[in-house]
Amino acid sequence: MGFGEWLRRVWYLLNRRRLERDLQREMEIHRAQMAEPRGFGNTLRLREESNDAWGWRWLDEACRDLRFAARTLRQSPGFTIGASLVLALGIGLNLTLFQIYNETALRPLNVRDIETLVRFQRLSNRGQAAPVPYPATQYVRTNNTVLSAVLVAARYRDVQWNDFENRLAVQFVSTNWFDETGYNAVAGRLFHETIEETPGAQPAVVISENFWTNRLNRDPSIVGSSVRINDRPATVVGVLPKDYHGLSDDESQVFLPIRQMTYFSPGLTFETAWDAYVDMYGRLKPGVPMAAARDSLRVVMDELAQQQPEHFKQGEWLEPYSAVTRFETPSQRQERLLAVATIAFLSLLVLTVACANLGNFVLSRAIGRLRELSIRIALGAGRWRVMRLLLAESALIAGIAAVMGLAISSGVFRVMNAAGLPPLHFVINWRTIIAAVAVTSFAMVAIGLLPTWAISRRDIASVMKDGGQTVSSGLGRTRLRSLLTAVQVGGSCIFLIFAGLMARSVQRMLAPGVEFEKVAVLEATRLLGRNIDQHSYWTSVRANVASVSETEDLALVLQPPPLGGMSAWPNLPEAPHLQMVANSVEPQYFNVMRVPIVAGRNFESSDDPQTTAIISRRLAMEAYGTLNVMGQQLPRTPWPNDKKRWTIVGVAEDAHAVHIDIANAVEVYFPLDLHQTKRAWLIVRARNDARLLLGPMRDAAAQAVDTNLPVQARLMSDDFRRRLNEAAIGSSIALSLALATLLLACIGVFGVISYGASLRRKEISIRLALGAKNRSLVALLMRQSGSPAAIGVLCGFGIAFAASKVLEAQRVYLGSLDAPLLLSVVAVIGVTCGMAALLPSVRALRTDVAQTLRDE
Amino acid sequence: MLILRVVSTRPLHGYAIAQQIHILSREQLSVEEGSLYPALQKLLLKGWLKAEWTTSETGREVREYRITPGGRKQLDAELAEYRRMSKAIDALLDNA
Repeated sequence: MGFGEWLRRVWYLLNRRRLERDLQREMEIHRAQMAEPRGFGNTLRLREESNDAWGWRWLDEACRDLRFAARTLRQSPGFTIGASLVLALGIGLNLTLFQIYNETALRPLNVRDIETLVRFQRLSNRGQAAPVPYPATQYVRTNNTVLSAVLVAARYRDVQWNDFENRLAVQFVSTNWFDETGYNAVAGRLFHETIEETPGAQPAVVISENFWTNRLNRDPSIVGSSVRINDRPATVVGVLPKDYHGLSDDESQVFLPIRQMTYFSPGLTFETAWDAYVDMYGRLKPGVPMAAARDSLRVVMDELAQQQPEHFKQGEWLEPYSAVTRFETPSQRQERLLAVATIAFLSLLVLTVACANLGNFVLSRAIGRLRELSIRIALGAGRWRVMRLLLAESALIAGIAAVMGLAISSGVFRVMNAAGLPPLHFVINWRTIIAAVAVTSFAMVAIGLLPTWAISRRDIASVMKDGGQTVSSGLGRTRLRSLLTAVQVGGSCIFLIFAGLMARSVQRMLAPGVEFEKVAVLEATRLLGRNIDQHSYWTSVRANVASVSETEDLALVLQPPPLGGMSAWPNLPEAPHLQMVANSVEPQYFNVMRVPIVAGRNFESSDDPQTTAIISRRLAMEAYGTLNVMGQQLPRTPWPNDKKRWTIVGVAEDAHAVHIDIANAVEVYFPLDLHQTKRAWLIVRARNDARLLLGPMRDAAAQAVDTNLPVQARLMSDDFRRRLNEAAIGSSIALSLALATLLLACIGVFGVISYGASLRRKEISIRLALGAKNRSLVALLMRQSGSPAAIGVLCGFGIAFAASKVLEAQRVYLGSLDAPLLLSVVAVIGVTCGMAALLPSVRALRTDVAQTLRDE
Repeated sequence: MLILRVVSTRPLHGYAIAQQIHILSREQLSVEEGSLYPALQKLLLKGWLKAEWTTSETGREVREYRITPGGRKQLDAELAEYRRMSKAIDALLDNA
């Protein structure tokens, strides 16, 4: 069909009524001119055949079918509303998750010249090296030939704005940040190199539109106004546009020039400190590919390694990642794809279970129309015509559900934004439309096509002979019905297993092997980059805090629970499934956190931090098979040629205190050496109430050094609760979905048994009349759903087992599938589906035997 | 092809087309109305004919079909094909 012909078809469609009237008039004129007008034939039939030439008959029939389906559905409002709601929830869930993925991963970064913007990660032959220090970024900026600009950003979480009660997260950015990313201010101006780089430039602040609206009530005089940041005066110079998202997941709302960091944090030697790390980005010069940039910058990095051998090693390089792919590294991409696949699988499973449930109902309704369908076939309708008729209802329900699903998705986003979650926008673009069409089509096929195909395969014409009994009975016991039941049971089985695994993970997190309720934490990472002697600082702070009467014990640690430890080498060959997580601690740590030493000894002041280790009980038992592991050697790196070892001096009880999200995490402790490490935290156990320690801890820190040095003291229980919330929310969602799908499965089983019983009323009555026992009849009816349910459970187990193995190593709060969990799931499904099958079976026995035999 | 041929000389309405085919074929061929109007619609769809309402010589309002340049091209092609086939069949019948 050429383009001209296609255009003419469309033109005909748009002018159809007029052209049909013209044809009718023309035929009447023709007929009037004939000597024998009767010879003209049936004008209506001729007009239909003539109009068919334009190829829109299928549209007419589809509209007719939909109108008929709408009338039919209007007569069953309960089924229509219920089916639409169930499907809408499944579609809405899928669309919501897709939108979140669309906004966070698929939506391209909103920056200028995205193809030439890259982020740099410092790598070495041994993997990821430390991040890039600020002085290194400036050296690269002035000594490279492949970048037209270098952008730098550093996040700080603890900045005081005027007298606001809560501190803010701010981002220090290079002065070319907004120019290079291509944003303009909605009020005032943004940072410019020519202004902020000028010697003596006034301290400047840029704020986000969100901050201006929610915290400053869109004060129209904000630009040019003076504010105090960390008690230092500064001027608000501009407001960012609403569509500013930055280059990462950062949610900072206040931006300061990185060159003025020293002004806002006195004592900071940021510009010359080789341990002050930043995020580094670059703008490639025109025509420079990323590979060429990487190779060219290797030379610069080698120069840095020669000039700063204590901070850089030979062979390190800067690996660029493009803004086009949102700066994703290969490992991040793998994690993302796995997470997306898991979530997509689960959400589609919800939709599949909902569709299977509805499919059974659609099948039952179709069986109820067998007589009507047989009449249509007798009048000449083909199989495809019959299928279209049955599909029209499903299409209508799916369409209504799709609109409701979009509304649900939009509503969920509104709620999320109102709850203060990261601002995501529900956007209808081509991706959303394609996703909605795909999900709706899947639903339509699942609930409509399969039952329709099952009906159409039968000899429906024979319905007219026996009133539909034979065909109905056969359809009541189709494999399709069993398949739909199995899908529902299998789906709910999978959800129950996941919910059980997540609930166990949460339970494990709720019962860590540490007592944190009476512990307070002092954070002083701000010491990074400052010209302060760490050892002196902490010695002074410890002495001050120890003198407080409420203090029972205290210890310095590299990372306090539950913020996580450093991941050690991937695995020990003796126990490859264990993920070792390291932490450097003082000997008092074990008493503060109430982690007993179960074998060997605690650290002593004479222990060498480079060669001494304490491991957890689980690691000792699974790697060595005994607690008596003192003197054993732990490899320090995963490389076989590296001969450095740690010597185990003790075994501590399992703590589950760090990386509480990983199921197979085991702890390895090293002595903390303040001379070697750049950061530390102080954890303090209170005698009675940790809240009484917070003020004295802050005061102790202030007395130790500069009073302007901001420190943060908080309760360790708050950190644990924040971590648990995430897992608890996930577990609650999984449990809700599990219960919802289980309910759907029970409704499905109930429906199957009820319908089967209604089809076999005559048979049941005859059996009862012949003296069959109630128990055997109930078993006969329940067997109908027994096999599909059993198959569903087995398949569900298989899929859940495979998925849990894949996800075990990921941070998705899952543990291993074991017999108690499987038996629990079998019991839950057995009891619930059993009850769902029993009720209609028992009800069927109450039939009036004599009446039934007379009627049948 | 027959419809295109009779309309190629001058625009005609439906009844006149049927009449012309019957007359010009020396009453050997008749186009039933049941075939004529679907064929006319197909020709309109292909763009080989155009239709418009006019007033006939008798003062009656009629809908006349006029051949388009594309229709003339199609007519020439079909005529050429018909003549080729006709020659081939004649040769077969003569020499068989």
